Amino acid sequence: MSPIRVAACILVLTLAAAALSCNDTQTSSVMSRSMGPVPALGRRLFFDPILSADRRISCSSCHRPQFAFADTSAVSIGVFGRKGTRNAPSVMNVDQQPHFFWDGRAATLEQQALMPIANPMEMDLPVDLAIERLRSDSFYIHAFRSVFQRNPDSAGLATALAAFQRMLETSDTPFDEWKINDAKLNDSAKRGYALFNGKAGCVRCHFGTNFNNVEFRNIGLYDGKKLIDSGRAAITHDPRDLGKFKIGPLRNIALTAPYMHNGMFRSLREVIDYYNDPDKVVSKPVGRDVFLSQPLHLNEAEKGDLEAFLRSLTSRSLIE
Amino acid sequence: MTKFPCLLTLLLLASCSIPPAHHLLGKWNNVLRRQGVTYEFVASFKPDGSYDGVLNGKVLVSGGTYEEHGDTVNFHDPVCNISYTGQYLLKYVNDSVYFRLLSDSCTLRREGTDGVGLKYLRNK
Repeated sequence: MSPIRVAACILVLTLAAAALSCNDTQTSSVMSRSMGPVPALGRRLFFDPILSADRRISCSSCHRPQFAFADTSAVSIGVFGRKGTRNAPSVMNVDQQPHFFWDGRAATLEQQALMPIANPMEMDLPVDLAIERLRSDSFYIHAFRSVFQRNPDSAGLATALAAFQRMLETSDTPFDEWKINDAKLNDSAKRGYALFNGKAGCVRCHFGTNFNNVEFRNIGLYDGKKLIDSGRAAITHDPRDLGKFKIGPLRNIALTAPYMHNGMFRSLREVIDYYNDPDKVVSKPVGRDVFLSQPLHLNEAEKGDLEAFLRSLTSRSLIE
Repeated sequence: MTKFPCLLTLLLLASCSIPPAHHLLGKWNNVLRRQGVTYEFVASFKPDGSYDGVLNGKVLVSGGTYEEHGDTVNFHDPVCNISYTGQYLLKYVNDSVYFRLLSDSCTLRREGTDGVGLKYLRNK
């Protein structure tokens, strides 16, 4: 091969590598944190379509880094174009969560990590087959032996994926900097925070380090007719859980539209409008929480302030 | 002769981390390790009567107020309802303060406060 062709090949490979890494650069400061071998392996797996039946989608297809590891579709599209039934939530700031998925069907990140791989509507690859694939791949054989001192197995796969997700914690937000270091925060966001804690009453459900809590609530998006996802009740078989879903964390919420379990609200303003007067959107909800029994009577300026506060929960690492 | 200024300097430096005589103003922390994970909670009691709590760099509770009355403190914060009062007995030991429940109908706050000790960080 001539020196010119060798140089051309190197250039092409360099450009290809740069192109392949583009998805990650938008979250480079989150991703470039010092990462041990377990989460580093988890990261590789998270972005690898080897874990889907048709080898076309990876975890990152629906949990997209540039959108705080959430999806921009109301419901995500799985293998072979299969349409799911729920909105893919962000997998950031999940370290201390006691439940996973909208209905809380998984109690640990490790349990959660394997479920989408096997789900026929998502990646549709039984975990045993996924492990077979990893055991046929020289990179993963070497990586698992190096990290876990054994061949690829489901426990190692779950551990690695969960470890990667645990690295995705964010606290570098204008809001945190304001509260902790007395940094400047725009007045609209400050007013919004006061509304959040006061007139709007959001804090009754959204509190704690990630602005959610451990509960499941029915916010009125179940009517048994058009809105038929029974949520938590399908897991617990308790009729009192009908229409209840996990309270969503609010960190990076400005990047994770659309919203709610079914992605029915396209913007933060639509969410705020809904909470302001739920009956205008869903007139006959079943089992709606008493917290939402009365309109909030927020005016347009107050809605804007509330939205400004929610935007202040965005990690700087995601907006740089 | 040179020992005296050194001693004075050391005393001055040491005094920076000594909490003010039996009141909460300032920053306090509590570090605990559970299942291999370290958690640091920092509470900031401010001169205007407000307080914030931060867990591992994330705001945990904010928008609360506190009122000290001798050896007791009353808390109000939005964890349950801003109008709910949590009342705790304060016990100062060396550089730490311990909270003992007197009354608090807010379960979450009660679980996170009763029996908890905080170590003084600084007066800011």
